[in-house]
Amino acid sequence: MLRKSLPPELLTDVVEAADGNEALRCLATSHVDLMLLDLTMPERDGYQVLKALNDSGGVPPTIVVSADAQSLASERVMQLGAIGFVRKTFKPAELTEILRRAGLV
Amino acid sequence: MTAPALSGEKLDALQELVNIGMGAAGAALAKALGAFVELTVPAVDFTDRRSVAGLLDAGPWADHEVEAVRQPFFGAFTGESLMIFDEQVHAQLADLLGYGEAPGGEPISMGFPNPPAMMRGEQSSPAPHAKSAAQQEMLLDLANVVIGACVNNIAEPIHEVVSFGPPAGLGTRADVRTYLLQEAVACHQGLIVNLDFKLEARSFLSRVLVFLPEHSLQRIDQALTQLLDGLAAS
Repeated sequence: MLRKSLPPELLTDVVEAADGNEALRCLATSHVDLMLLDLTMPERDGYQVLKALNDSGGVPPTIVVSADAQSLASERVMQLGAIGFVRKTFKPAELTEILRRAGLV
Repeated sequence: MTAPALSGEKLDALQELVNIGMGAAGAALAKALGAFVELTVPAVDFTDRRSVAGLLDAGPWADHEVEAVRQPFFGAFTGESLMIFDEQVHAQLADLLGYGEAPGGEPISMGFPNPPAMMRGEQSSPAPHAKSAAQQEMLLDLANVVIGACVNNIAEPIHEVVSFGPPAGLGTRADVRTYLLQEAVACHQGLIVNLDFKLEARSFLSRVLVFLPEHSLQRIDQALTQLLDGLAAS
Protein backbone atom coordinates (compact mmCIF):
# COMPACT_ATOMS: atom_id res chain seq x y z
CA MET A 1 0.00 0.00 0.00
CA LEU A 2 2.88 2.39 0.79
CA ARG A 3 4.62 1.46 -2.44
CA LYS A 4 1.46 2.23 -4.40
CA SER A 5 1.28 5.63 -2.71
CA LEU A 6 4.79 6.65 -3.73
CA PRO A 7 5.67 8.88 -6.69
CA PRO A 8 6.91 6.59 -9.52
CA GLU A 9 10.25 8.43 -9.73
CA LEU A 10 11.06 7.17 -6.23
CA LEU A 11 10.52 3.55 -7.17
CA THR A 12 13.57 2.88 -9.32
CA ASP A 13 15.54 0.77 -6.85
CA VAL A 14 13.62 -0.10 -3.69
CA VAL A 15 14.77 -2.38 -0.88
CA GLU A 16 12.18 -3.44 1.68
CA ALA A 17 12.81 -4.51 5.27
CA ALA A 18 10.28 -6.39 7.36
CA ASP A 19 11.44 -5.03 10.71
CA GLY A 20 13.90 -2.69 12.34
CA ASN A 21 16.74 -5.20 12.58
CA GLU A 22 16.47 -6.07 8.91
CA ALA A 23 16.49 -2.36 8.08
CA LEU A 24 19.73 -1.88 10.00
CA ARG A 25 21.30 -4.86 8.20
CA CYS A 26 20.28 -3.38 4.83
CA LEU A 27 21.70 -0.01 5.78
CA ALA A 28 24.99 -1.59 6.86
CA THR A 29 25.56 -3.18 3.48
CA SER A 30 23.90 -0.81 1.00
CA HIS A 31 23.99 2.86 0.17
CA VAL A 32 20.56 4.34 0.72
CA ASP A 33 19.49 7.68 -0.79
CA LEU A 34 16.22 7.83 1.11
CA MET A 35 14.68 5.75 3.89
CA LEU A 36 10.94 5.61 4.54
CA LEU A 37 10.66 4.40 8.10
CA ASP A 38 7.63 3.15 10.01
CA LEU A 39 7.54 3.53 13.78
CA THR A 40 5.58 0.46 14.80
CA MET A 41 7.63 -2.54 13.71
CA PRO A 42 8.43 -5.92 15.21
CA GLU A 43 11.81 -6.62 16.81
CA ARG A 44 13.03 -3.01 16.80
CA ASP A 45 10.75 -0.01 16.32
CA GLY A 46 11.43 3.11 14.30
CA TYR A 47 12.68 5.12 17.26
CA GLN A 48 15.20 2.39 18.08
CA VAL A 49 16.37 2.26 14.47
CA LEU A 50 17.02 6.01 14.48
CA LYS A 51 18.81 5.80 17.83
CA ALA A 52 21.00 2.93 16.57
CA LEU A 53 21.87 4.90 13.45
CA ASN A 54 22.73 7.94 15.54
CA ASP A 55 25.01 5.80 17.68
CA SER A 56 26.73 4.24 14.69
CA GLY A 57 27.60 7.33 12.76
CA GLY A 58 24.68 8.79 10.93
CA VAL A 59 21.10 8.73 9.76
CA PRO A 60 20.48 8.64 5.99
CA PRO A 61 17.80 11.01 4.71
CA THR A 62 14.78 9.56 6.47
CA ILE A 63 11.09 10.31 6.25
CA VAL A 64 9.06 8.63 8.96
CA VAL A 65 5.76 7.31 7.61
CA SER A 66 3.56 6.40 10.52
CA ALA A 67 0.00 6.08 11.66
CA ASP A 68 1.00 7.52 15.01
CA ALA A 69 -0.99 10.73 15.25
CA GLN A 70 0.64 12.02 18.44
CA SER A 71 2.43 15.31 17.85
CA LEU A 72 5.14 14.18 20.25
CA ALA A 73 5.94 11.28 17.93
CA SER A 74 6.77 13.72 15.15
CA GLU A 75 8.89 15.88 17.46
CA ARG A 76 10.85 12.90 18.71
CA VAL A 77 11.77 11.51 15.28
CA MET A 78 12.84 14.97 14.08
CA GLN A 79 15.12 15.24 17.12
CA LEU A 80 16.55 11.84 16.15
CA GLY A 81 17.49 13.08 12.72
CA ALA A 82 14.54 12.42 10.43
CA ILE A 83 13.99 15.03 7.73
CA GLY A 84 10.22 14.69 7.81
CA PHE A 85 7.18 12.94 9.21
CA VAL A 86 4.06 12.04 7.25
CA ARG A 87 1.01 10.51 8.76
CA LYS A 88 -0.74 7.61 7.09
CA THR A 89 -2.68 8.03 4.93
CA PHE A 90 -0.76 10.66 3.05
CA LYS A 91 -0.76 12.18 -0.41
CA PRO A 92 2.35 11.66 -2.57
CA ALA A 93 2.68 15.45 -2.75
CA GLU A 94 3.45 15.53 0.98
CA LEU A 95 6.49 13.32 0.44
CA THR A 96 7.58 15.33 -2.56
CA GLU A 97 7.35 18.55 -0.56
CA ILE A 98 9.61 17.16 2.19
CA LEU A 99 12.10 15.94 -0.41
CA ARG A 100 12.03 19.34 -2.11
CA ARG A 101 12.66 21.14 1.18
CA ALA A 102 15.59 18.81 1.88
CA GLY A 103 16.99 19.46 -1.58
CA LEU A 104 16.63 15.82 -2.61
CA VAL A 105 14.48 16.41 -5.71
CA MET B 1 -8.47 -21.81 11.96
CA THR B 2 -10.71 -20.48 9.21
CA ALA B 3 -9.15 -20.10 5.77
CA PRO B 4 -8.31 -16.45 5.05
CA ALA B 5 -11.05 -14.73 3.08
CA LEU B 6 -8.78 -11.95 1.85
CA SER B 7 -5.95 -12.16 -0.64
CA GLY B 8 -2.41 -11.37 0.54
CA GLU B 9 -2.45 -7.88 -0.94
CA LYS B 10 -5.81 -7.06 0.62
CA LEU B 11 -4.78 -8.52 3.95
CA ASP B 12 -1.74 -6.23 3.85
CA ALA B 13 -4.02 -3.30 3.05
CA LEU B 14 -6.33 -4.20 5.91
CA GLN B 15 -3.31 -4.41 8.21
CA GLU B 16 -2.44 -0.88 7.12
CA LEU B 17 -5.97 0.33 7.83
CA VAL B 18 -5.78 -1.26 11.26
CA ASN B 19 -2.42 0.41 11.78
CA ILE B 20 -4.02 3.76 10.96
CA GLY B 21 -6.90 3.00 13.30
CA MET B 22 -4.44 2.17 16.02
CA GLY B 23 -2.53 5.39 15.49
CA ALA B 24 -5.73 7.40 15.78
CA ALA B 25 -6.82 5.47 18.84
CA GLY B 26 -3.43 5.95 20.46
CA ALA B 27 -3.56 9.67 19.79
CA ALA B 28 -7.06 9.83 21.25
CA LEU B 29 -5.84 8.02 24.35
CA ALA B 30 -2.81 10.30 24.62
CA LYS B 31 -4.95 13.41 24.27
CA ALA B 32 -7.48 12.21 26.84
CA LEU B 33 -4.80 11.38 29.39
CA GLY B 34 -2.12 13.93 28.57
CA ALA B 35 0.47 11.16 28.29
CA PHE B 36 2.57 9.64 25.52
CA VAL B 37 1.25 6.30 24.30
CA GLU B 38 3.60 3.60 23.06
CA LEU B 39 2.14 1.74 20.10
CA THR B 40 2.93 -1.86 19.25
CA VAL B 41 2.48 -3.71 15.99
CA PRO B 42 -1.22 -4.46 15.62
CA ALA B 43 -2.19 -8.05 15.01
CA VAL B 44 -4.84 -8.99 12.47
CA ASP B 45 -5.90 -12.62 12.67
CA PHE B 46 -8.72 -14.82 11.59
CA THR B 47 -10.55 -15.86 14.67
CA ASP B 48 -10.12 -19.10 16.39
CA ARG B 49 -12.47 -19.68 19.29
CA ARG B 50 -9.86 -21.17 21.57
CA SER B 51 -7.29 -18.48 20.89
CA VAL B 52 -9.81 -15.70 21.51
CA ALA B 53 -10.98 -17.25 24.72
CA GLY B 54 -7.37 -17.69 25.76
CA LEU B 55 -6.46 -14.03 25.25
CA LEU B 56 -6.63 -13.34 28.95
CA ASP B 57 -4.42 -16.27 29.81
CA ALA B 58 -1.44 -15.18 27.76
CA GLY B 59 1.27 -12.58 28.06
CA PRO B 60 0.97 -9.72 30.52
CA TRP B 61 -2.73 -10.31 31.08
CA ALA B 62 -2.36 -13.68 32.73
CA ASP B 63 -1.39 -12.27 36.12
CA HIS B 64 -3.74 -9.31 36.27
CA GLU B 65 -7.30 -8.66 37.25
CA VAL B 66 -9.10 -7.16 34.27
CA GLU B 67 -12.19 -5.24 33.34
CA ALA B 68 -13.40 -4.10 29.96
CA VAL B 69 -15.75 -1.94 27.97
CA ARG B 70 -17.57 -3.35 24.95
CA GLN B 71 -19.17 -1.29 22.20
CA PRO B 72 -21.02 -2.38 19.08
CA PHE B 73 -20.81 -0.54 15.78
CA PHE B 74 -23.17 -0.51 12.83
CA GLY B 75 -23.51 0.80 9.32
CA ALA B 76 -21.48 -0.12 6.28
CA PHE B 77 -19.94 -2.85 8.36
CA THR B 78 -20.99 -4.09 11.75
CA GLY B 79 -19.06 -5.59 14.59
CA GLU B 80 -18.08 -5.29 18.20
CA SER B 81 -15.12 -3.73 19.86
CA LEU B 82 -13.75 -4.41 23.30
CA MET B 83 -11.25 -2.38 25.28
CA ILE B 84 -9.62 -4.28 28.14
CA PHE B 85 -7.79 -2.72 31.07
CA ASP B 86 -5.79 -4.17 33.90
CA GLU B 87 -6.48 -3.44 37.55
CA GLN B 88 -4.06 -0.52 37.67
CA VAL B 89 -6.19 1.60 35.39
CA HIS B 90 -8.31 3.41 37.98
CA ALA B 91 -5.40 4.46 40.17
CA GLN B 92 -3.41 5.54 37.14
CA LEU B 93 -6.31 7.49 35.67
CA ALA B 94 -6.89 9.23 38.98
CA ASP B 95 -3.23 10.19 39.07
CA LEU B 96 -3.03 11.27 35.44
CA LEU B 97 -6.25 13.24 35.44
CA GLY B 98 -5.79 14.65 38.90
CA TYR B 99 -9.03 13.58 40.48
CA GLY B 100 -9.41 11.96 43.84
CA GLU B 101 -13.05 12.28 44.64
CA ALA B 102 -16.19 11.60 42.69
CA PRO B 103 -18.79 14.35 42.18
CA GLY B 104 -20.66 14.84 45.41
CA GLY B 105 -17.63 14.15 47.52
CA GLU B 106 -17.75 10.35 47.33
CA PRO B 107 -14.23 9.07 47.78
CA ILE B 108 -12.90 7.05 44.89
CA SER B 109 -11.46 3.71 45.87
CA MET B 110 -8.19 2.97 44.12
CA GLY B 111 -8.49 -0.73 44.64
CA PHE B 112 -10.56 -3.31 42.88
CA PRO B 113 -12.84 -4.65 45.60
CA ASN B 114 -15.67 -6.78 44.26
CA PRO B 115 -16.54 -4.79 41.13
CA PRO B 116 -20.06 -5.08 39.79
CA ALA B 117 -20.78 -8.07 37.58
CA MET B 118 -21.89 -6.14 34.53
CA MET B 119 -23.05 -2.62 33.81
CA ARG B 120 -24.50 -2.93 30.30
CA GLY B 121 -24.09 0.77 29.76
CA GLU B 122 -26.56 1.88 32.41
CA GLN B 123 -26.10 3.26 35.84
CA SER B 124 -27.32 0.80 38.41
CA SER B 125 -27.55 0.91 42.16
CA PRO B 126 -24.05 0.74 43.55
CA ALA B 127 -23.29 -2.57 45.16
CA PRO B 128 -21.38 -2.62 48.42
CA HIS B 129 -17.65 -2.12 47.71
CA ALA B 130 -18.39 -1.36 44.04
CA LYS B 131 -16.23 1.04 42.11
CA SER B 132 -17.73 4.48 42.12
CA ALA B 133 -20.00 5.62 39.33
CA ALA B 134 -17.43 8.28 38.48
CA GLN B 135 -14.73 5.64 37.96
CA GLN B 136 -16.99 3.51 35.79
CA GLU B 137 -18.11 6.50 33.77
CA MET B 138 -14.50 7.54 33.23
CA LEU B 139 -13.66 4.12 31.83
CA LEU B 140 -16.72 4.09 29.56
CA ASP B 141 -15.86 7.55 28.24
CA LEU B 142 -12.25 6.65 27.66
CA ALA B 143 -13.07 3.44 25.81
CA ASN B 144 -15.74 5.25 23.78
CA VAL B 145 -13.18 7.78 22.54
CA VAL B 146 -10.50 5.21 21.77
CA ILE B 147 -12.79 2.68 20.10
CA GLY B 148 -14.45 5.45 18.07
CA ALA B 149 -11.10 6.73 16.82
CA CYS B 150 -9.95 3.23 15.96
CA VAL B 151 -13.03 2.03 14.08
CA ASN B 152 -13.68 5.36 12.35
CA ASN B 153 -10.14 5.46 11.06
CA ILE B 154 -10.42 1.95 9.70
CA ALA B 155 -13.65 2.92 7.94
CA GLU B 156 -12.68 6.35 6.67
CA PRO B 157 -9.96 5.41 4.13
CA ILE B 158 -12.35 2.97 2.48
CA HIS B 159 -15.07 5.63 2.42
CA GLU B 160 -17.36 3.85 4.80
CA VAL B 161 -19.35 5.30 7.68
CA VAL B 162 -20.17 3.53 10.91
CA SER B 163 -22.20 4.52 13.95
CA PHE B 164 -21.84 3.28 17.49
CA GLY B 165 -24.04 1.75 20.14
CA PRO B 166 -23.60 2.67 23.80
CA PRO B 167 -20.50 1.40 25.56
CA ALA B 168 -21.11 -1.11 28.33
CA GLY B 169 -18.89 -2.25 31.14
CA LEU B 170 -17.71 -5.79 31.85
CA GLY B 171 -16.61 -5.63 35.45
CA THR B 172 -14.70 -8.83 36.07
CA ARG B 173 -12.35 -11.30 34.40
CA ALA B 174 -15.19 -13.83 34.34
CA ASP B 175 -17.46 -11.34 32.53
CA VAL B 176 -14.76 -10.60 29.96
CA ARG B 177 -14.07 -14.29 29.43
CA THR B 178 -17.77 -15.03 28.91
CA TYR B 179 -18.01 -12.17 26.43
CA LEU B 180 -14.94 -13.34 24.49
CA LEU B 181 -16.39 -16.82 24.16
CA GLN B 182 -19.74 -15.46 22.98
CA GLU B 183 -18.10 -13.11 20.50
CA ALA B 184 -15.79 -15.83 19.22
CA VAL B 185 -18.84 -17.98 18.51
CA ALA B 186 -20.73 -15.10 16.88
CA CYS B 187 -17.91 -14.25 14.49
CA HIS B 188 -16.02 -17.48 14.19
CA GLN B 189 -15.45 -16.85 10.51
CA GLY B 190 -14.43 -13.26 10.92
CA LEU B 191 -11.42 -11.23 11.86
CA ILE B 192 -10.06 -10.25 15.19
CA VAL B 193 -7.93 -7.15 15.41
CA ASN B 194 -5.70 -6.85 18.46
CA LEU B 195 -4.14 -3.54 19.50
CA ASP B 196 -2.00 -3.16 22.61
CA PHE B 197 -1.40 0.24 24.18
CA LYS B 198 1.10 1.08 26.88
CA LEU B 199 1.45 4.46 28.48
CA GLU B 200 5.00 5.69 28.75
CA ALA B 201 6.19 5.63 32.36
CA ARG B 202 2.83 4.27 33.49
CA SER B 203 1.99 0.80 34.58
CA PHE B 204 -1.48 0.08 33.28
CA LEU B 205 -2.10 -2.03 30.22
CA SER B 206 -4.90 -1.65 27.73
CA ARG B 207 -5.90 -3.64 24.69
CA VAL B 208 -8.49 -3.03 22.00
CA LEU B 209 -10.08 -5.92 20.18
CA VAL B 210 -12.25 -5.42 17.11
CA PHE B 211 -14.46 -8.30 16.00
CA LEU B 212 -15.57 -8.24 12.39
CA PRO B 213 -17.95 -11.00 11.35
CA GLU B 214 -17.94 -12.66 7.94
CA HIS B 215 -20.53 -10.40 6.29
CA SER B 216 -18.57 -7.31 7.36
CA LEU B 217 -15.44 -8.86 5.98
CA GLN B 218 -17.09 -9.23 2.58
CA ARG B 219 -18.01 -5.55 2.60
CA ILE B 220 -14.49 -4.58 3.60
CA ASP B 221 -13.10 -6.88 0.90
CA GLN B 222 -15.08 -4.95 -1.74
CA ALA B 223 -13.99 -1.61 -0.33
CA LEU B 224 -10.33 -2.67 -0.26
CA THR B 225 -10.57 -3.71 -3.91
CA GLN B 226 -11.76 -0.21 -4.80
CA LEU B 227 -9.08 1.38 -2.63
CA LEU B 228 -6.25 -0.63 -4.18
CA ASP B 229 -7.58 -0.09 -7.71
CA GLY B 230 -7.73 3.63 -6.97
CA LEU B 231 -4.12 3.69 -5.74
CA ALA B 232 -2.95 1.76 -8.79
CA ALA B 233 -4.74 4.20 -11.12
CA SER B 234 -3.45 7.36 -9.43
